[in-house]
Amino acid sequence: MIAARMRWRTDGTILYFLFLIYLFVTLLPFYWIFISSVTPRHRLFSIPPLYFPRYFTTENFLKMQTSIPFELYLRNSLIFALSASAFSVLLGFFAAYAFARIRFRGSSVLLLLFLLSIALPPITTVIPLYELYGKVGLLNTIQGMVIAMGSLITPFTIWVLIAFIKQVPVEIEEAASIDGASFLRLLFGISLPLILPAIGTMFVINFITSWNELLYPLVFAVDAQSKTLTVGLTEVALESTAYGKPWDLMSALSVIMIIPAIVLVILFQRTIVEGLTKGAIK
Amino acid sequence: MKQKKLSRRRVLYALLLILPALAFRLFTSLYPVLYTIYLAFYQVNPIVGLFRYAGLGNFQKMTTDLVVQESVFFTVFFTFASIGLQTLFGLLVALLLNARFRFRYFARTVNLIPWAIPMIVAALGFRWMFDSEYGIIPDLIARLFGFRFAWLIDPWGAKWAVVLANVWKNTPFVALLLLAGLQSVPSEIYEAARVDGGTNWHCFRYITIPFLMPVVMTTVLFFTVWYLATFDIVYGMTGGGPGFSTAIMSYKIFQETFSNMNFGYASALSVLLFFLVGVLGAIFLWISHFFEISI
Repeated sequence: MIAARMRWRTDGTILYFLFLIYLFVTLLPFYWIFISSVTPRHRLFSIPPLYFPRYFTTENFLKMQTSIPFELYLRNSLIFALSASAFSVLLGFFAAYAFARIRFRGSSVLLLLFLLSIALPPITTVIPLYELYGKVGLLNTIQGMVIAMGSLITPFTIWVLIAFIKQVPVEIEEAASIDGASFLRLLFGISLPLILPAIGTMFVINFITSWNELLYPLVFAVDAQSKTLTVGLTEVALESTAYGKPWDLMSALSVIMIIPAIVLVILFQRTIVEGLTKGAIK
Repeated sequence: MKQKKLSRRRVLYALLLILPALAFRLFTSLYPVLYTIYLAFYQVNPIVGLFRYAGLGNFQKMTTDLVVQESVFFTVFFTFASIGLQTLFGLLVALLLNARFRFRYFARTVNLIPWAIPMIVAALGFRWMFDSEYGIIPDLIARLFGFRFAWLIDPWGAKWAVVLANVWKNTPFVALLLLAGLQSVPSEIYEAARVDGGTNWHCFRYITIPFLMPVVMTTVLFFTVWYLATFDIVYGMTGGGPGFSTAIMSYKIFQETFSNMNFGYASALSVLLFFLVGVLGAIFLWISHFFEISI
């Protein structure tokens, strides 16, 4: 009995020790980016680094906003992420409903093709899309970026939504169908409200994915009119200072880009985890 | 009779519902793939207006391009090293998050944050932390182990630094999936094993591991395909350097496209990347098949 309790206690100590290491490794980059964003430049570049700086400034945030068109990029990022997310969820809901509820020949092959298309590296599609966008006037527009991005994340959205729709008992729709409800009424009046939470989940996940996207905006946005914050960060990084890159300004912008991620994770932790694990674990 | 008509109507609805998603996928994936394969046989430079049939010229050029060899090597190295480390650490973190202790819900929230931030932020953050003069990672290592190492200036140091930063960013996601796998193991099985005198190690080896294997294989397959297409972290952290030691395939293709305006050559490199994804994807599918049977 005593031996068992002792073992439990040592296990507990090891557990907390491992937990502390885990926290240290996971949070160190956030700590350092935050510290770098509020430290004056001449204090930031010191050898050895100041782990617990005593100097505080908000000037980096103001200076960062003059080195790039910050407000425009922020607006573009929001429009891009919200639209791409809405677009993929809309396409995803329609297709997922058909795959989950209607039996037809070739449906599993078609679904497999959707999933296989995830394996295609986005960079390999860039030249054809770039030329095509140039011809049809989608280059340097947020719409063009939204189409490419929304389409990219649609297969995963379909996959997860199918799992959610299959959980809803089909009897509800059958009963409504017998009562003479039309197909559109079944789709929008019965099914959509039932899986609205799942659609919300995918909206949040796809928003985060699109907010974080770099490649498409980097390629398709030619000037400030359609560039996003991720591209803005690489532009701030291009400036050079007496010490090298302007890590103070880059850290300030990074903090601003991290904040939405932290807020969304805290607000929607449960639902994000459910959505992400839905596809992988039955 | 009426039933049959009804079901045929439903099939029509199904196709109509799938059509928009399918159309956009074809437009942004099938069409570009076909056009890329076509361009791979041409010499194309849009700036000088060059468009000339080149036969296998681009592919021949690839065999003598030393950067391509280095690029393919690093792409495969990056993929395998990242997947190996993140699976190991992901399992440890999942076991930690599954253990009963006071802060586990807090730990699960913290775990999601690296997943949710932009890769380019992590890439530049790690570049700053690995900085050979002002970085805190070389400084911490010097304090703890007594040696200094200029990670991003050394070819192998840079390779490992990119892998480690990537593992930091993606281990939480792996841990999340493995945690869900752990939670799906029915507790009765553990209880039965304990009654029969099974030790902790027995439970782990003969219950936990077999139950997790399908999840592990799913994540390995998913990440293999995904990592072969990695771009952001190299773009932000090393710019392919030092030299070309971290010029991952996507980055090399990006450079050929937008710096050298070599659309034909970039397309041929894209074809090589398709090939790589196809071969490694097939190998992992085959391995996962093997695992499901043996355990």
